[in-house]
Amino acid sequence: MIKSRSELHKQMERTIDANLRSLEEHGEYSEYNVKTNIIESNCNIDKIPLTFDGYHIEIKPTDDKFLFGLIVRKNSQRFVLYIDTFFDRYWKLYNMENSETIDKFMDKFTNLLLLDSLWMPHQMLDNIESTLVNVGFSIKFKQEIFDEDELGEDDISQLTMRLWSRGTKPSKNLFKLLHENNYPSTKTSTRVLNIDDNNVKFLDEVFFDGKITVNKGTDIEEHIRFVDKIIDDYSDKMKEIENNRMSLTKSACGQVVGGSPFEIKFSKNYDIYHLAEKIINSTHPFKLWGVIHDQTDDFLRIAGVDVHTGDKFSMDLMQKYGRLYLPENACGNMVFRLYTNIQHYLDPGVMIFDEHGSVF
Amino acid sequence: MTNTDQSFDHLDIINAVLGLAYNFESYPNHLFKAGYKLSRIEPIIGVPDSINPDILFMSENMGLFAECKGGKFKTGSNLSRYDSIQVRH
Repeated sequence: MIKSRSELHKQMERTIDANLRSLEEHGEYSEYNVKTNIIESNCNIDKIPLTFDGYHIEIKPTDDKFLFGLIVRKNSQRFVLYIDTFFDRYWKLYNMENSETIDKFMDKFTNLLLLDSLWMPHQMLDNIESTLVNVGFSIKFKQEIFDEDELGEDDISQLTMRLWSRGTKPSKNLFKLLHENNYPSTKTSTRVLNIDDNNVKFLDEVFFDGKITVNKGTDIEEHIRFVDKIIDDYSDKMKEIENNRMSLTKSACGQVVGGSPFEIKFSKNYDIYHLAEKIINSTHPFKLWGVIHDQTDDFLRIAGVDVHTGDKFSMDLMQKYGRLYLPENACGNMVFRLYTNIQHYLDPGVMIFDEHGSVF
Repeated sequence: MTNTDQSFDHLDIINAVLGLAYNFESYPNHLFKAGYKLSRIEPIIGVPDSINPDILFMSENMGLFAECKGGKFKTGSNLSRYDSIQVRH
């Protein structure tokens, strides 16, 4: 078991070195890739349930007060992750395990109360690409709100694709083609290369849910810096969103309203009853529960609870628009989750605004 | 998902009027377009014979009070009381 941060970094570095050599010599990886999952946490590590969905967790402290080993057991399975809680709200979970095993675990782990994954809309993935060399992307769009027989002739119920290229041109061209022809162009992941004087520092794939896989690399510190930059950007956006939560404060001259709603603009008109039924049924991926307490033919008002934190929210739904009202202490990750999942499962062309313009 | 009875009360009216000053496409945002911003809810203005406006909107050089009434309220008598407000620069 790893005892310190430097030991962890060394082990990750050994893994990427071994994979780099193996790729060059045999054309395939010799070990499971180094992966980092960023998650959003609203609690301390000692508040994590140690048993859930058949998983049993053992938390092992290390010499670094922010770094913990997480030994996970399920039936005969046993695997290890390292959880870095240095950033209070955004934890990094490092692992060098089978991707499928970790994905299944993370799915359940981030479904626990007060924990959530990141939800990066495609605009955020675009921003990540803009500072590096973009050498691929994947799209996994699936219409989850409406059944196939409810869709129009031009609607797409599912689109899955993955492009990996050596240079940046094929990726940009294909994406442009999709966008111009109104195909779902919500990226599930983007593949970026950090290269300096022909020296590949890392080739990482960043997924919308905060998972980052090191496909190739020579310096693990560069990968960690990259992950930290993603956290910084997400955190900045979170602050913007949370500064916009609605509040009412008393002043000498009356009460002052702070913040404003968020306005969601769909790319076409939708059946709002059907939409509400899917969005506020408390299940994955939206994780929202609510009741409709006002309605007319083309307007619904919802009082809801974010199942992730238990925070209340209000929402208006119209055929073309939605409005989200977040109260003062609500978790802003709900805006990321709602908007990103609408992009992935309903309407790739959806936009979200606050009073000052587009949020993303 | 459960539906409850439709409710439309004083708060809804206030919210609807507030919406007029927000910069959103989905609201009728006429007050925003006219340059008004929300200043106070239930502003305290210290006028004799107590008028109690619900909202004060402000533009660069204008103030706009809103009293939100539902049902059969008669608003006429209240209007004259606003004449007693004196604005100091």
